[in-house]
Parts: sequence; structure tokens; C-alpha cells
Amino acid sequence: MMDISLCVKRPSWLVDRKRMRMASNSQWLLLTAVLLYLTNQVNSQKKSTPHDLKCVTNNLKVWDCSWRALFGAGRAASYEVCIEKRSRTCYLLEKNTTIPPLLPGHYEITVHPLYEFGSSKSKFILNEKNISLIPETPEILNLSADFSTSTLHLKWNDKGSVFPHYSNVIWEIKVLHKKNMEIVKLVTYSTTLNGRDTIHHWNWTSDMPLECAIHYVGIRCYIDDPQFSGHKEWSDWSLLKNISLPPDSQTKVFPQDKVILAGSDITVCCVTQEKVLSAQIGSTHCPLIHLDGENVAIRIRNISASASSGTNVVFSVEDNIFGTVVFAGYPPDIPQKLNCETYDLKEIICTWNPGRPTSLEGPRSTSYTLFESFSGKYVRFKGDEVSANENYQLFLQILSSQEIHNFTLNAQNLLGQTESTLLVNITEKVHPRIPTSLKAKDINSTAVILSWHLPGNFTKVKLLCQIEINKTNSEHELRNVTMRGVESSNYLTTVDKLNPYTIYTFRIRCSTDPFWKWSKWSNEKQCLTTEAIPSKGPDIWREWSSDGRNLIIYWKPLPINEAYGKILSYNVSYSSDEETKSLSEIPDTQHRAELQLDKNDYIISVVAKNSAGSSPPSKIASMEIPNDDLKIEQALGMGNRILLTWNYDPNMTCDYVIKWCNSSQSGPCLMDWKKVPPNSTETVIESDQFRPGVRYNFSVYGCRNQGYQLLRSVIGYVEELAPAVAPNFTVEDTSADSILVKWEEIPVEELRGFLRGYLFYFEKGERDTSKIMGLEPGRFDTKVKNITDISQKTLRIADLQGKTSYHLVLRAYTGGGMGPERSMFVVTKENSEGLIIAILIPVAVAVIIGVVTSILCYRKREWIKETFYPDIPNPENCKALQFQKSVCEGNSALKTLEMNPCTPNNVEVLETRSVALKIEDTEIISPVAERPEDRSDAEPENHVVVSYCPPVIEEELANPGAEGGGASQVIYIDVQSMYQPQAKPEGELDSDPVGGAGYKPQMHLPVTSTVDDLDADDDLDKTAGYRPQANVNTWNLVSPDSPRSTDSNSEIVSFGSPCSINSRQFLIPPKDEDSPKSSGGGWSFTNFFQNKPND
Amino acid sequence: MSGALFSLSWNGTEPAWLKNWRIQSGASGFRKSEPGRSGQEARGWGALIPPLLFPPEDPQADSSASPLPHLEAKIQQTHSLARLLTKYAEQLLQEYVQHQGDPFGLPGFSPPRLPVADLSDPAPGHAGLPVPERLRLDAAALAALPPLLDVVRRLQGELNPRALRLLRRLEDAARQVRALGAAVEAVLAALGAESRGPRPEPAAAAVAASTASAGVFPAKVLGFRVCGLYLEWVSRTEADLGQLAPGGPA
Repeated sequence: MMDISLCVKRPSWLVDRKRMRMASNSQWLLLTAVLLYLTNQVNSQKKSTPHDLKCVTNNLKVWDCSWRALFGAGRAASYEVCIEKRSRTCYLLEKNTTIPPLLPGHYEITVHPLYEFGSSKSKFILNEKNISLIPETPEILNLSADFSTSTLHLKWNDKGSVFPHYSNVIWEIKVLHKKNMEIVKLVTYSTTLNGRDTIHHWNWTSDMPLECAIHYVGIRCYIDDPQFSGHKEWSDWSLLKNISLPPDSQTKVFPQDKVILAGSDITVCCVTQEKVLSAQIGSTHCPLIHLDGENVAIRIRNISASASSGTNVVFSVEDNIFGTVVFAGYPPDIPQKLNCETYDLKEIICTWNPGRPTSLEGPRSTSYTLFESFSGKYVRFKGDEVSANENYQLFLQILSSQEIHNFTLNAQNLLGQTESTLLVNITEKVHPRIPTSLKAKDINSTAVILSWHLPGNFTKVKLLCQIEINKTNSEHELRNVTMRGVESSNYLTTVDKLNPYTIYTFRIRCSTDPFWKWSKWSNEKQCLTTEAIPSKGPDIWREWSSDGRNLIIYWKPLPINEAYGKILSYNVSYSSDEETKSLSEIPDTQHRAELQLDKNDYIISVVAKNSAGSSPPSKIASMEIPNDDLKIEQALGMGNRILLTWNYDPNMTCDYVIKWCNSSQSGPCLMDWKKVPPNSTETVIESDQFRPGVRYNFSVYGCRNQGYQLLRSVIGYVEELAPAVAPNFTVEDTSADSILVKWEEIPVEELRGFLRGYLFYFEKGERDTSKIMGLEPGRFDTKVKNITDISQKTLRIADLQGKTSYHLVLRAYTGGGMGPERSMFVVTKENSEGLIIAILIPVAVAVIIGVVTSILCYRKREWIKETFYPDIPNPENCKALQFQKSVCEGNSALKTLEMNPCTPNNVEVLETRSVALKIEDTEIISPVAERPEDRSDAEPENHVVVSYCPPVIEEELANPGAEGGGASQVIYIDVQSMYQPQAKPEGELDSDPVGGAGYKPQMHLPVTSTVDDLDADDDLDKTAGYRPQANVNTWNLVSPDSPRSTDSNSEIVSFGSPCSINSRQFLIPPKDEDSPKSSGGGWSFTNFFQNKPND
Repeated sequence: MSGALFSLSWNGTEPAWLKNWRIQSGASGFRKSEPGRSGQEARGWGALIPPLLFPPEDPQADSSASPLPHLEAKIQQTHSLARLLTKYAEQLLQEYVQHQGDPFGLPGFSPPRLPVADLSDPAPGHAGLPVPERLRLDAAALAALPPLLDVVRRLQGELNPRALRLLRRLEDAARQVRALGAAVEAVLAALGAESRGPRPEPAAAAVAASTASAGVFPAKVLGFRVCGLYLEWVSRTEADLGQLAPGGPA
């Protein structure tokens, strides 16, 4: 701001007034009144004098100064203005006038109105700092619009020529819409004033299409002159200029077909006179933004990439729709994998990958320009010319003089452009096309010439071609050839080292040197080389015929790689020291010849012939060296191969020959043979003809001195199988406890492996029972015999039961498993001898025992008699005389003899007067059971009863058992009468020392206790002799051995020692060897030995 | 058989040859009605053959050389072609909207049926016209369609250059509609109702091209409209020919 001070000389009264105020307060009111008066007077005077001097400039060349004067001031229109600093310069000026710019510093400005009465001079101090620089209002020269891009173009003149020197200028531009005249854009724009009038341009792209609303533009400026120290101010805004819609526009939606960057924002408007009901982008409805009139707009933010046909934006009015299409996409990606190469050195083909899709198609798609900087040539490519999957490529002709190429590939669309560069030496980037017209021509049996056509101008480079050679049943071979490129594009090369008479298939591919890429393989060409003489003679072997008189020569057909042609015939010749003979030509289909040789040793020669000639001869000697130490060995193979080994023999100088055949074949055995070098000790025989379960004979021959010696003979299987059949077996012999089985060998062809043994099962079983069906070795009743001695052909099964059916099963097994089984049922014979023996043995034993017993008894008869039947019983041994306390104390239960003083009142002496009964049988028969009647009959005849009557003890008489006894008496009874009558020789009877005298046992055993026998007893009582002193009817037989003891209901019968009623012992008559044996009912050996003394 | 009879007449007057030939609708097609004789006896397409085209039948002539089956076959073939093109047109319209983006494929989207030069909508009022007259209108519309379809094909070629099936369908449609138009013309000629003189050079292409230059969206709408008209006209042609075809409603 300009600060202008008015320098008016102060009146003297003002000084006086101040002095008066200080003098007295009482005069304050008076002085105030005076002051008001004087002020009024001064103001009146000021209004009439120039004041408020103000100076501005808009170009720094002149200052526009003006001041104010109230009364008549200005109307006087003439002032004298004097500027005084060091000098004084006066101007006669109007009220507002211009003065030249003043140099920096304070200047005194004196303004004196001319022709004005009562006015006074005014003095001002003026400095540049008080001057305002206000540029002149700029003027818009032109305002135009590019509706397609919604861009405004503003043009104005800076009028820099009016400024004395360079200055910076800041322009401020505002853009307004008609509606509400709101500023939609306010920007500053800096320029420099260079002393000349300069036209400036300013472009602005509107977010909203310019067609949507009328746009106004205004501009002002601010000059920033560094040399000017005064106040700088913005100029006034220029007059607004506007852009209106094109008058002939029929489109109502803007922008039309706009291409924008995907993800950006866009405003679309509809200019219409109708009310817009809705707007949508694609299928999405958008809120309306109302513009002038019925115009509306929508704001689309972050728009997605469009499909090929763009994104539809549709505005709907009542009966119509209006729309536009927005194409949202991307600028082109940098071309990737740019590669330039040539097929033929005539044309360059550059390919690349466009990278990210732009989503822009058709006219909006990316266009590519390939520019070669050295030659200045370029080609264009439109991206929509290829389908999506194709490579982008451009072709450029090669200049013959140019090898280095510098390519720039420019990609451009409506959203941007990118580029990629590549520098190549095109001679190093040759990718030849596929060779064509491949031909092959044979030169000889081992070489052919290949020719082909390779389009292109390769004279500057060397070609590197690769030939693939394929032979039937052989791996393909690759050969490289290098050659200089020729203008004719026809090439040829020789392929040698081929095999004669062989079909070859050739194909070729080429590249250049240095290598870049192979061409594709050419088509194949087949060629058959010509024939050559066979490289070697056929593989031969010889076998003597079965009768040993003829030698059969075998040979194998030559393989094609050795035959070198079609074998037409074979020549066989044989020579000895004396002569050489030849057979007639043998056709190629025959591979054997039979020679009748004498006893000389011959060398047989076989030659194969084709159209090119004869092969070297193959020779073999007829001599066979015997080998006495030859064993047949076994071998097992695996799969279709079998390993044979032999010991190294330095004498074998030629080679080894292994021949083999199927052992089941009859006649000369030869299936095939194989020759191995002489230093070998093993070989693997492999043949597709080998079959599992088939026995083969392998013969290993060693060759020395042109003769062959059989070294090993091996039978083998490549794989063992289980026997196909079961061995036939028969029963050779059958006894009551054994079976003899005999079986036959299994034929080799049925055996199918090496026999390891037989399994024989047997068990009891009969035919047609379910049991025999399940005969298995694991069963408890099945007996198994594993016969591992394969030479054994019989088996005796022992320990069988007679007359029993047995189930027999036999099966063979090999290393391949168990063969089928064969079964049979056999019944053992009846065992009659055993039965006889079983009967005889017990009888014999019984007889022996009886005899022995008899002998013993006879030999010990004295002892027996002494022991059991002494002539004079030893009282000490008599239990009856044992005075046991219990007995003596009067146990009434024991009816033993009481040792009371015995005073016999009657004694009967019984004597034997007749011979005892002869024993008729050895059987021990109880005299009690068997002979009750006999005894009663005999007794009266044989015995003399001597009465003896002991004194009767009163107490005993009280015994109820003795009730029937009547009187007490002693009765002697011959012991022999107690037993079954025994047959005795007469002599013996006579010599019986007992006779009718001597000791008699004091006991009489009643045979029965029945009442009927009482009569006999009575009779006995009448006889003389010792009598027991008790009633025998009261004896209780308690011996468990007694057959009657078990019969409790029977009447009590007891017999035993006369000494005790409890004794079970018999009194055996002395020296009676034929004494009856005790029967089972009353006597036993146990009893016999129980009382045997210890003699 | 309904037994209802109506006459074929157009231009207000019935041709003289047709007066003796009456068409009876029904499954058996058309038959000649003869005085004093039941129409049941004169069945077949010979009833449609005008005497001018085909001279009166010579009793001595070989019946196999009669042209009547030829017209019958021609109508049948044309009707079959129209039916086939109707199906193709449906597929074309469906394919077209698929490639224009929303809202073209959305249900309810129906831009105003703006007039297309030389090609009007099949008006419902045409239903009352005689079949030959309807066929003549059909032929005129079918003749106007190919250039419009070509324009659409060109526009779509720029807009959807990779939509090969759509482009092929558009090409096929233009060719097929020409064939159908020619076949209809032939039927009309066989019926003695040839179209009225040479048609003016169709301005449809120029107008369509100018419409297309207005922007992509109007071009899409134009294509949509042309495809719709194509469907409507071949469908109507099929229906009109169906009235002549054996078994169709008379």
C-alpha cells in the first residue's frame, strides 16, 4: 500500500493551544470550543488543497499519480507539480497525470493548484515503495475446444513489450460452468516477460465432456518484477469467454466412444430436453447428477476394463434411450520376447509377445511399428490382424549389404505407447526352412549320395546339416556335415560307412554356423544299398548220425548284416589229408548236409554265396575226441535262459560249442548251438524256444587240435514244473500187518522237473467214503512217508492191522512242486497165527505155572508139611494156644480154644483104613463145594473114630452155638477127608506115614452146616480122634477170600486151622504131592505165600 | 378338415384363372373346386398352378411331366428354408446380444423401434392381406435386409473382430436372406404375382452407415434392430409360406 504522508506546515496556534491546555484546566471548555472552530477552519483549508497523492504503474514505464482536491480541485485541471530531490523539476500537469518513474529514494512532491483561490501548496514525500504495480487486465485472444478430448485451448497475449525489462508473470486462469457460475478449475500459469508481446497457450482437459455444459474461462496476471520495490498486485480478471455446444450435434450422450484407462474415472452426460429417468453403465444403475436444464451426468469411478465391444452407458427417457460406449483398457505393454531371425537371409521376421492385453480391439487396438534405424525402414502392424493365439510378427526385407540391424518396435494405442529394441546380426539368427526334395542315390554297397533343396540365400554363411540314418532294428545314427551355402539352394553330400544290402532311411535338417536353430526335419527318404560279398561264413556244427556213419553238417543262415545280400546258395566241401570233395550247390533254403565219411578225419568247409560273391569258408573238424570221465549234471535256468559253466582248460584252443536239444526228442539231438570264445568259462544260453517244464540236454564241447571233445553233459530246465502225472504204483504183497508197494518211474516229459522224491500217505479207509477223499498229510490219522531216495521204487508199510482197508496215496514232487496223486485201497490179510498164538500162550503159561508149582510143592513138600501140616503141631505156632490177654479176659466173641484144664471124657481115635480117593483132575476144587456127598459116603469106610471126650467147661456149654453139640468130645479127622479125593498112586498111599495113627487135626470141617449134614456129623462124632472143643456151627467165616463170605444170608460155614476158628489155613497132609489145589473159592497163591516161612 | 373356403385374391381383383381354383384349407392342402363336384376329389398342389403358367392338362400327356409337383416342392422348399432361417435368425439375435454387452442381453431391454430405411416392421395390419400380397411384402423386406446385415457385419467386424462365429452368422444371414428372398420371388412368380417392378436401389446401407458413424452405441442399436427385423421378417415369411405349404393353415 502506498503510504503517502501529507506534509503540511503546522499552524502556530496549534502550538499555542497546547501551551494553554497545560496552563489551566479551567479553561478546558473554552479551549475545546476554540479548537473545534479552528479544526473546521483547517479542514476547510485542506479540502481546497491537493491531498491523497496516489501513484500506480502497470508497465513500470510511467507512474500514474493522482490526488484529491474537494472544492473546485480538479476542476481547475491545472497543477504545478514539482519533484524535488537534488534538483527541482516542475511540471504543469492535470489532476491525474503520469510521471516518469523515479529512481529509488525519497522525493518531495509539491502540488500547487493553479488558478485556484485560497488553495495552498501540498507537499508529498514520494518513494517507489509507495507505488503499486497493477498489471493491465489481460485479454483472451481465443478460447477453443476439442470436444473429442474435452479439452479447452486458451490463447492470450502477455503484452510484454510494454515492460521495460524481463519479469516473471503469474497467470491465473479460472474455468466456470454456467450453472451457478461455479469455478470448476482454477490454475496458475507462469511465464516470463521478455520485452516482446508473446502469445501464450493453455490447454485444459475437462473431466466432464465439454458438451455437457457451457464452460467459461477468465484470466488475470501478476507481474513479479524483482527490480520493482513497490506494491505488486493482481490485475483484474479478463472478460469471460465461453464454449458452447456444436450447433449441429445430434448426439445427446457425451463423450462418444471414449477410450479411457481402466481404473480411472469418467463423467458421462446426457444433453436432452426430456427428463432422464435413469442411467446405467452396463447393468448397473448410477445416480444422476443434474446439470443445466434437463441435462444430467453420471460419474463412473474406477471403471473396469471393457470387453471387446466396450462398456455401454445408457440414459433412459420416457420413450427412448440414449447411450454411448466407453472403452476402458490399458496402454500397450512393452513388447516381450522380441526376436528377429531369418529363414532364408532374404527376409527378417520379427516376432514378439504383446504382453498384457489392452482390452481394446478393432480401431482401438494397439498398432505396432517396427523401425530399423540403420536403414530407416519400417513396417507397421495392426494388432487386430491376428487372432489372440497367434504370434505377433512383422517382416522386413534384408538389404544384401546389411548384417547388423537395430530394431525398435513401437507399440501404440489411444492410451499410450511403449517400445522395445533389439540389435541383431542377422547372419547369426538364421533359422532355415525345412529342407525339401531329399533324394538318395547309391554309389556303392556302403555309400549313398543325398541331395536336397534348402531355400534361401546362404552364400554368406556355412550350413551345418544333420543327417539321421535309420536302419531296421537298429538305433538311429546322426551325422553332421558342414558345407558352404550356394546360390542355387541345392545341396548334396555323401553318406558312407553304410552296410551293404541294407535298407536305410534318411532325413536331414540344417542350421547355419554359428548355430542358432535347427530347421525342421525333412521328409524321410529310404534307400537300399547294393550287395557285397558276405562278411563271414555261416556258423556251422556237425553231428554224427545215430548209426555213426554219416556226419551231418548244420549251419545257420547268415544274418542280414553279415550276408550283405541275398544268399543264393551254399557250397559244402570236406577234405582230408588225402582228398578234397565238394557237394553240389545247396540252395539257400537248406541249412544242413549229410556226408558219408570214412574213418579219416576231415575238415568240412561251408561257404555262403550271394550275387556279389562267396563268403569266407567256415570250417569244422569231423574228429571227436572221446571223454571217458563224463558225468551228467543238472542245471536250472531262469526265464528263458540258463547259465552253463565249465572249468577253464588251456588245452581248448579253438572255441567252445554248447549245443542243446529237447531231451524228449528221439534221434539226433540238436536244437541249436552256440559258440563262445576259448577263454570263456561260462555262457548264458538263451532261447525263445525254451519252455518251462521241458528238459533240455546241453552238451559243452571244447575244441582243440581241430577236434571237439564233449566236456560236460548237462540236463536242465529253464524252469521246473510240478509233475504232470502221478506215479503208477501197485501193491506187490499184502500181509496181515504190512503192504508192499511198488511204483514206476514217471516219464521225463511228464516229470517236468528234477524228481526230488515221493510222498506216500496211507491211512485206514475204505473206498467210497468221504474220509478218504480228504487224505492229507496233516491229518492225525494219516501217516506220511517222504521218500527222498528217488532210486527207491518199493515201500513196505508195516505195523498194519489185519483185515483192514487202507487208503494209499502216492505222489511225486519236483523242484516245481507237488504232482498229482494216485490212490489205492488195500485190505490187509487176516491174522490167524496171532489168534492161535494168543490162545496157546496163556495155556502154555498156565501149564508151566502149574508144573512149576507142582514141582515146587513136590520139592518143598516136607517144608510144606512141616509148615502147614506137621505131624505134631507146634503149639507155639498154634494160634489157638496163644493166650492173648484179650482172649484170656474172656472175650466171648473169639471162640478160640480156651486153655482151661481139659479133661477129656471121651477120646475117639480116627484112623485111616482105606486109601484116599485118587485125584482125577488138576483143578482145584473146594472139598466143601464139590464133594459133600462123596465124603459122607466115604467116611464111614475110611475112618476109625476114637472117641475122646474132653471135660466140658460149663461156660462153653452156655454157648448157644453149641446147643446142638450135645456132649463134648474130641474127634480126629483125617485131613485128607476134607478135600476132594486125590488120585494117588497106590504106592504112595501105602507109604503114607500118617496112617491111621499119629496126630490128627483137632478140627473137623463140616462140609455144610445144613441140617442134613448133621447126620454125617453125627457119624463123625462116633469116630475116634481129636475133636475141636467147640461147636463148629458157631464158627464165623470172615475171610474175604471165602466164596461164601459174601453170602451173608447163607448159613455160616467156616473152615480153617483147627487152632483157631479164624484161621483160613488148610491143614495139608504131609508128603502128599498130589494134594488138591485150592480152588478159587477157598484158596489162593496169595494165601499160600502169605504164610510161607522164611526158608 | 375345416372345410372353410376362401379365395386367393390381391390387388382388389381376383385373377381370372383363379376363379376356377379355390383353395381349401385343411390338412390335405388345396384342391380344385369344380362345379357339381365335391372338392374332395381335386386334391393336390395342382390347384394352385395358374393356367397361364401351366397350360391345361393334356389328357394324352404324361402325368409325370406335370409341373404341379414342382411348384409344390418349390413352396415346400422355400417354406423349409424360411423355417430354417427363422431358427438361424433366433440364434443370430442371441449371439448378437451376447457380444454387445449389457444391457443388450438383459431381459426387458428394448430400444425404441427406430425406423430403418427401406425396411419397415412387419405390421399387424398386414394380416388381413392376401397371402401373395403378404409374400410380396416379405420379398421386399428380404431384399432390403442383406445390405443392412452387411453393414452390421462390418460394424461388428470392427467392434468384435474376434467374435468369429457372430461374424460368420452375419455373413451367412445376408447370403441366406438373399436366397430366401429369391425363393419367395420365385414362388410369387410361379403364382403369377410377381413383385411390382424393379425396386429402387436400397438406401438402407447408406443410412445405416451414417447411423453407425454417429457412434458405437447407435451402431449396436442398429445391429440389434436389423437382427430383430431379420428374425421378424423370416418368421413372417415362414408363416406366410406355411399357409401355402401342404398341411399349413390356408
